[in-house]
Amino acid sequence: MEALQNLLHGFALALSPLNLMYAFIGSMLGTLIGVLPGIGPTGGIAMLIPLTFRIDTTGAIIMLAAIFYGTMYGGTITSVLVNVPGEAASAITCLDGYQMAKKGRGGAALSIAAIGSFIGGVIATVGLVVAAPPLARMGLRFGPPEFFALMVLGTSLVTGLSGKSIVKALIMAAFGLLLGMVGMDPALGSPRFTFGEMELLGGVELVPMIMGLMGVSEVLSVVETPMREVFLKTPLRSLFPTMKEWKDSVGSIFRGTAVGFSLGLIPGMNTLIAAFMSYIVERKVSKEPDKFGTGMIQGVAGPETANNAFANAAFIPLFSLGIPGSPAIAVLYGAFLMNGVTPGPLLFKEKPDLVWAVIASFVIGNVILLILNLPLIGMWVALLRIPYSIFYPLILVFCIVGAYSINNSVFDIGIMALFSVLGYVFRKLDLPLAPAVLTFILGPMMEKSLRNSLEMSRGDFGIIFSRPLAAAVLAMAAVILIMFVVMEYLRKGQAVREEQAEV
Amino acid sequence: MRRLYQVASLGFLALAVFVIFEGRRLTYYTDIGPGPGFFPFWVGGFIAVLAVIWLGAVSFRPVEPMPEDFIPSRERALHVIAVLAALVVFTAAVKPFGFRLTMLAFLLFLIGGLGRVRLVWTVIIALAGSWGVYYVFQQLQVSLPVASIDFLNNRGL
Repeated sequence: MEALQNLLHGFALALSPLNLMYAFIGSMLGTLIGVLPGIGPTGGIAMLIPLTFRIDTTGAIIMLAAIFYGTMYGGTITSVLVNVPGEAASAITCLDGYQMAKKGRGGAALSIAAIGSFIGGVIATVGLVVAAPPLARMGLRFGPPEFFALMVLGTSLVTGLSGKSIVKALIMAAFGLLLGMVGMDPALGSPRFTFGEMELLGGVELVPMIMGLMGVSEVLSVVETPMREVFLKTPLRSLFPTMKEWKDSVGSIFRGTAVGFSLGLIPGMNTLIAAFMSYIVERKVSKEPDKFGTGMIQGVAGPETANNAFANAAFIPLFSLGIPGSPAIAVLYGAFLMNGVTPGPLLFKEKPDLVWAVIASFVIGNVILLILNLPLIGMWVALLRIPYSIFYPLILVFCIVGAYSINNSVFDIGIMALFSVLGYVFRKLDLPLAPAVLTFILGPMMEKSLRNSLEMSRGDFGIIFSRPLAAAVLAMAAVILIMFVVMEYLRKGQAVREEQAEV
Repeated sequence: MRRLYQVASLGFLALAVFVIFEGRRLTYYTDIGPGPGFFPFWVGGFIAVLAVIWLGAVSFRPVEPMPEDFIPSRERALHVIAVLAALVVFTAAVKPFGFRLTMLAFLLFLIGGLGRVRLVWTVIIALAGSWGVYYVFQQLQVSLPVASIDFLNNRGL
């Protein structure tokens, strides 16, 4: 009951004209990022953080969160109509969505995706309202060993799920930890790895680093491939689904919500996994699994609902425990910190107005996206006709201005350029970037939790294993990592056997 | 691909050795608990172990063949290098020449030079991206760099 009252108060704040405008701008910008290939949600949020500098904290967070879930809507449009996923989570939608579009049912696919995303997003927000406050109360009882264990679990999941090689993913996770160590030591304040540069005393700046690593390097990868113009070849007749399409989608939407919501609760998961998992579930429960890939509405409804439910549920560990579960949420975590707000168990106590207004804005943002997206589909597709040779320099302008305006420092533009090169090289070497981004942000927290734990026990590592919850979570992390190593070993063994059989 | 991975793993190994040595120069343990050198030492050690495992794996086990699109065409590779070079030149030139002039040159080069977009469009977009963005951010109370060269600074650039 108390949560409902707080939520209503949150609605009153979120519905103020200014906050409504921020939700609207965020939703539109998010959709734009989702539509455009070559910039994902993580780089996109980082790129647009400077736009929120002159906005009050609540408005800024509302806008950035709307950008995040707006990308999920935007990515669907290009996946369905032109077979180009604007962001990774929508890649699976290409399989059936594009086939539907070729049959003239693209409008129906987009409508179902938008409605599914709306339902998934709203149910996940209700879940957030119900689950986050008690989880936050539980989080208040956590000590440094428990927080350390939770962060290890998140890191192990991200590394296990990133790319084909667990060793490469672990190297990148450790590389992120290393970057997080640059600057003042979190406990004693001694400078580390600053190379005498005053600008590095505060650490490697989050926004330029992410923009370079995830944003500019992605732009470079697109620039590297031959440019091609994207045309809408598929007919967009009616936006209204048929009765059969409605009927076929209902179950998928609710299953997608369940999948996306459950995965959003686990630190280390991402929208791509939620969408894929939902697609697998839909195939499993379908009476016609062989027809998937030929234009089955369930193949659009499930994954699209799942990725949006995930996007909203992923705020639960952030708000209640202060643990960002995915790279995009980690960037949002950084934005919270820049605005002087530390997500975590105390958030509901210390900043109730902010947190409830942001939660209420999720519902409002989803309504805005549902109402505006379908009529504006033509505009979003028209944007894709602008040659990329004009688009990418403009993206770079935003990145440069964004990097500079964090501290009004040219040094930060240099940091962005450096990480652009590194990001491009890492992509070439198939080294996953997500673990580095997550551990870069988690690193200082992880180090602080570990050091506090060891201070509590006077240097005895046993403290982490002697506390039941910390030990259980660490054991889970270890099992997950071992499981991924075994799976990789088996997969490689099978590949070698198949190769030998061919010879 | 094998050679590339070997170089990359050796690069990480070198980084790990550097981190361990730097970490050793910091205090490892204090009276109240672990010091600033504690975490770098262990993370450096972890990277070193992983780099050695990676080096071993790519040296003694079959390596996946290079993906077809790994090496871009000469034209596209030069394009990427040109974009990166433009970014570096921008970073170096923005202080002396100021945001507007540097960004104008940057956009003229990328859109007109590399993108071969029609001159009229190139100029319009470059002006919007330099003078236009400067104006917009001034309204947002973010002052973008002005030229440190007196001659340009005196002319309001």
